[in-house]
Amino acid sequence: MGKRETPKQALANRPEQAGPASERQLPPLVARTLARFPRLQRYPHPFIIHFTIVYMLSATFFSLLYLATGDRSFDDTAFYCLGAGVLSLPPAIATGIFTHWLNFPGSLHQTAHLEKRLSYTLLAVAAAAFVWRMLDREVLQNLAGVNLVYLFLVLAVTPLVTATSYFGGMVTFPLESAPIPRHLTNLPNGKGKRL
Amino acid sequence: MTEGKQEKKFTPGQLAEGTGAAGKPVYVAYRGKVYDVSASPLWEGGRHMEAHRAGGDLSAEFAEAPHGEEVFERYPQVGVLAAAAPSEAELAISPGDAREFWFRVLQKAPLLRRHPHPMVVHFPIVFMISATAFTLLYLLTGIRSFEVTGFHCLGGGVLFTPVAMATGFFTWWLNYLARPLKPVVIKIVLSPILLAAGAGGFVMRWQNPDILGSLGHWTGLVYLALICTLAPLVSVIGWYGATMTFPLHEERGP
Repeated sequence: MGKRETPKQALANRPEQAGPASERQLPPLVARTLARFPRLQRYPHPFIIHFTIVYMLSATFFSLLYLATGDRSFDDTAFYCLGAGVLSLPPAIATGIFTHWLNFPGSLHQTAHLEKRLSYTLLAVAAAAFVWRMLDREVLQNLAGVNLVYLFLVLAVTPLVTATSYFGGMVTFPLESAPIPRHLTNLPNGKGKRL
Repeated sequence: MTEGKQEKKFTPGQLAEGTGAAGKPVYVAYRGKVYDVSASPLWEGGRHMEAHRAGGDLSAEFAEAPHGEEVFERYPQVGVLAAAAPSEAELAISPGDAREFWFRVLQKAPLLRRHPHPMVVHFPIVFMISATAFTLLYLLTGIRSFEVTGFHCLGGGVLFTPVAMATGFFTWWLNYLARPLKPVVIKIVLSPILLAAGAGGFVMRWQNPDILGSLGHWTGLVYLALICTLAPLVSVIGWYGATMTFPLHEERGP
């Protein structure tokens, strides 16, 4: 057998087989930081999106709760949740792009593309609703005419964030590659076949 | 591999030799096939993304990978994994009706295989942290609506914590055979404490909406202490959950 190719030689000989470009061209500061804190490779995005998802869903939920009960404090909570959701979304998008750049080979996966587009739409919708509610505290109290658009925006936040997180979840936990635990693939009666 | 050629069968021991250490090749197994990924810069030294080690079967870990299985097409398949005898733990398991039932459910709804717990835990994590954050924001600013929002978030956290615990137990029973793994044990111990602290705080605030106005009294201080423990408690629980979802093994010692 000939001498084994080193990874660097393999990279030079067959660049098309290399992994993520980012892995090969990390700026020194990023490389040093990741070497020191390897958890930064994957943790920041899943952590931050917890906040975006829950705050956005809560903004819709508490707005509806206000409409159902008339309790003004629910409207305030919805507003704060909307604000927190808007605040957390840009870091969520940024860490998502960073995680993808770092871990995925080549261009964006189609699912990630969709997730990105939905995220930008969500940011626009939620930010618009937040500014509206900040300028007009009574917008949900006087629910008629153009104010219905505000309600539509707040309601739209939930399906948008659900779809975004669903596609994000598919990137992180792809169903097609999730094996059934081995103890369940060895069931008697021939039932335990891998999907 | 050449069609019709006898494929080399790797025992787990032979596979474990492919660690990439001391000039050895870097072998990984996926769905019964053994690949030589020595040429990959991402497997230099037999480690991948600080999360995966060579010389083992990655089929289970692959579900967490942010890429598809097409990555294996770049590397030569050097053999197949010899069917290993079931481990003692696996032999000790009597699947029983419950697991058979869930197997049928999982065939119909693969989403249930992993997602319910990661989906549900978003809520207690964010609501409990928010309960602490909005309460402290109220103490800092004096704006009453922050305190009320903290209370609402506390209610959300208390509501969702049992659901997260239940789905966590289910995932543990189904995917980890209810083995006493360290992160799970820590979560099992801390989660009821979190629930008790959250529920206790919620009841205190429910009975006395001005409880934070009486910080000079012991009840106000106890309430504030309960609220302030929620964020660190849920953070520790979430951290150990994250280490199971996105395992990042520490460097081995020299």
